[in-house]
Amino acid sequence: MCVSETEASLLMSGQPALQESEPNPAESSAGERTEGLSGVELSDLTLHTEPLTHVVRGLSRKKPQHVFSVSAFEEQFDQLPDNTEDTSHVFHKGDVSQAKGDSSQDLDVSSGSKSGLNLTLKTPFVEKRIERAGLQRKVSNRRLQSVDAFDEAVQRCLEQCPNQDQSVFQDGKTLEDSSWQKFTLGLSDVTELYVQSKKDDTMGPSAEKEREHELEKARDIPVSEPLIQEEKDHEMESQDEEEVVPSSQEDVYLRAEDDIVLAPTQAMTESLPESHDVELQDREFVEEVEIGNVVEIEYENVVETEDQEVVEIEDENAEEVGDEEVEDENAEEVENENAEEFEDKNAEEVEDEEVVEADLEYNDTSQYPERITRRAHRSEGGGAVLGIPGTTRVTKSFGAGLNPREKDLLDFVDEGRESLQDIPDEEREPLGSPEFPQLHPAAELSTPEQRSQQHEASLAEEDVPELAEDDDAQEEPNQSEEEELMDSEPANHSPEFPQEEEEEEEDDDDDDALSAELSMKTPAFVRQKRVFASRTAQTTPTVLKEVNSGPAPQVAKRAPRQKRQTGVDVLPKSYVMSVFKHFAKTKVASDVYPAINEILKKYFERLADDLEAYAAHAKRKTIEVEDFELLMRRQGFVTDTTPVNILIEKYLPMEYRKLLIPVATSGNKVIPKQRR
Amino acid sequence: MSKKAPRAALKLHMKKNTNIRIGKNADLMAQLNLLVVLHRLAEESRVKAFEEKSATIKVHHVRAVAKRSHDGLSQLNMLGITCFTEFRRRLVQHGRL
Repeated sequence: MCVSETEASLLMSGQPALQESEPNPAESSAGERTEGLSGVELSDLTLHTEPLTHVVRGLSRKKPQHVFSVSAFEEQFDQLPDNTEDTSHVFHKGDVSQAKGDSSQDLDVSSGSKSGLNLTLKTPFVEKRIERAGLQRKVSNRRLQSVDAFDEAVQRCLEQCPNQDQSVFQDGKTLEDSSWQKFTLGLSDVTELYVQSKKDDTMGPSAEKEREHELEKARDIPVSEPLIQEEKDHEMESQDEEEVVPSSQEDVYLRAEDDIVLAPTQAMTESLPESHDVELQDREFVEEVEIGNVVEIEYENVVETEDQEVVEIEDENAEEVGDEEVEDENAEEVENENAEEFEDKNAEEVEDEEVVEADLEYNDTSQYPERITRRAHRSEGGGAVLGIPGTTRVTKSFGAGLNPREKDLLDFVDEGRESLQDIPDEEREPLGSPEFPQLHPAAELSTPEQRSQQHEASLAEEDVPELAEDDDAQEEPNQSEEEELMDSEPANHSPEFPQEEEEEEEDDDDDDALSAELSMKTPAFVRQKRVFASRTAQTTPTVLKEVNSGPAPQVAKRAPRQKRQTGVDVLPKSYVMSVFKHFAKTKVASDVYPAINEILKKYFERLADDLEAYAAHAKRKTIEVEDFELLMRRQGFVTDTTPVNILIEKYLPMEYRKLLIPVATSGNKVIPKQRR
Repeated sequence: MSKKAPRAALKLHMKKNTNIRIGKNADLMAQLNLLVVLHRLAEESRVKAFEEKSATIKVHHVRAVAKRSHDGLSQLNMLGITCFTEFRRRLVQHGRL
């Protein structure tokens, strides 16, 4: 229904016609009819709209009707004032103010009643985007967040408090915006970013709204876009948009060094590999950049503006896939910077930029990027969320955003947590808890959008609670995640995680694509973390393969399908097991299937022989139904009291039953045709 | 949850060794029979599993049941068949009287 509602809303708004438009009209027509009737009836009763509405309300539950009816109503409105009311009654979910003769009102009512999809109406565009956001493989809206920005955002998030996941997220956006804008200076990549940012911008506003609901990616993308654009504009416009843009922009700016990396957060995801190469001159994360981008984007969302550092981190993360160690260092620095920036936030555009740039230099170490990447990575496939010491903190906040990713990461994180704890601690310090919680929730927010994936969500969720508690606590989880991703230890973990991730990722190959994107959004630190993990996560299939070096990914792939053997499987396992289970009424171990198979084989052989004998006895050359009846009788299933037909009805599906049992239909026909 | 068993597979099985022909809807009956038999098998297996106080049906449960019942199930059939064959043979001997 929700979907229908949304669709309805979309329909109403005239947004891309959804498929429901068809059903809607059908439904609506039905609704209209009822409405019409009610209208007729109600026309007199217009006065009693309230009671009617209540009545009608109870009657009309179809949401799609609303969609259609709106248009219909509009027409009706013109014609009859009453009709409008009626329609309103029908639709109205809430109150059908008996605005009579106000088609507009009715529309509103209907639209509003439609399920209070007021928002949806407005954001049809966004929805659309968001819907596809997850599908988008590239993080179009990836906002490159500089480390600083990221830090800032993180701090903001932390300040805001973990509870406000969404708020944090939003805040993050703002942060990004502010921070991003600041970064607009001097980013060579701006041009690139522009391209993307433009995309983001468009997506941004709508996306932002939707983002929260939808995949982080969706959010990130729009956010990133706006961010990018903002860079150019240097204006913190609508926060939502700005958030996106600034984040992206920041990323762009932050990455001044990274030409392409920041450039469009989207680009990041997409062009990560490309950008990485370019950018990664300084940074070694080629792959991670992508992830970082995603992470950044996510991060951006979370952090929003502030953390230029973060952006940098992201960039760094992306770049530094390999340099976990360095990243850690840088991350810390970045974190520090971010922390600083975070506080400043709005004020310093220039400062941020500078910081960002400075952070950029650190790139490698910026844990945020690692984290971000890791986050992204994690989200993607729960991949190697190797805790990046510094990033963990950041990521945590992002983790929230990176829910989908984080979940994956979390999984790994948990594993790697223990080992990585050491590292995170280091990182945490610089960041300070405030950032983290903020980041985390933000991340979570961002991530969820990016990755709707379940496992990611779980990760993110885990991260979130973790973050909320304490920095350290948060850090650990994040760190574990991040660390897993990024830290040197992550190397150890990464193999583990990547494998795990791979498993997950493999399962989520599709997700991986998304996750890759997400990773891009994830803040830098996340990326950093994910440097290792991200690698796998980014290109999920490829990355995983790389990381996992083959065996893991191949696990999913089976050996080439063996030629079908007639005798091997008596019957499809699924069918047999389902039947068996159904009959057994208790749990059945799945390994009984081979035994059953054997039994069935023998059974069939015997059956064939018996039937043959029966047919031969009847001097027939073909086995007929009667033979079977005889068989069943001999087996004791059919007795004088239980005719065969009973058994037929009992066991066989309808289609078969029809064939076996003669059914009398009108016209003196019997189906199936009786021979005699 | 009645599913559709693959009729082709069933037919294949029935025609495996012999080249006897299968009637039109005979395979449906085969499926019916199969279901019934499986049902019996499952019930017995469940009972057996209960005996061992285990909630799930394990392989050995099923095997034990199959051993016993398969002989049992087939016995009758075999009996019938042997009778039939014997009968026929006798008839033949007697020149189809």
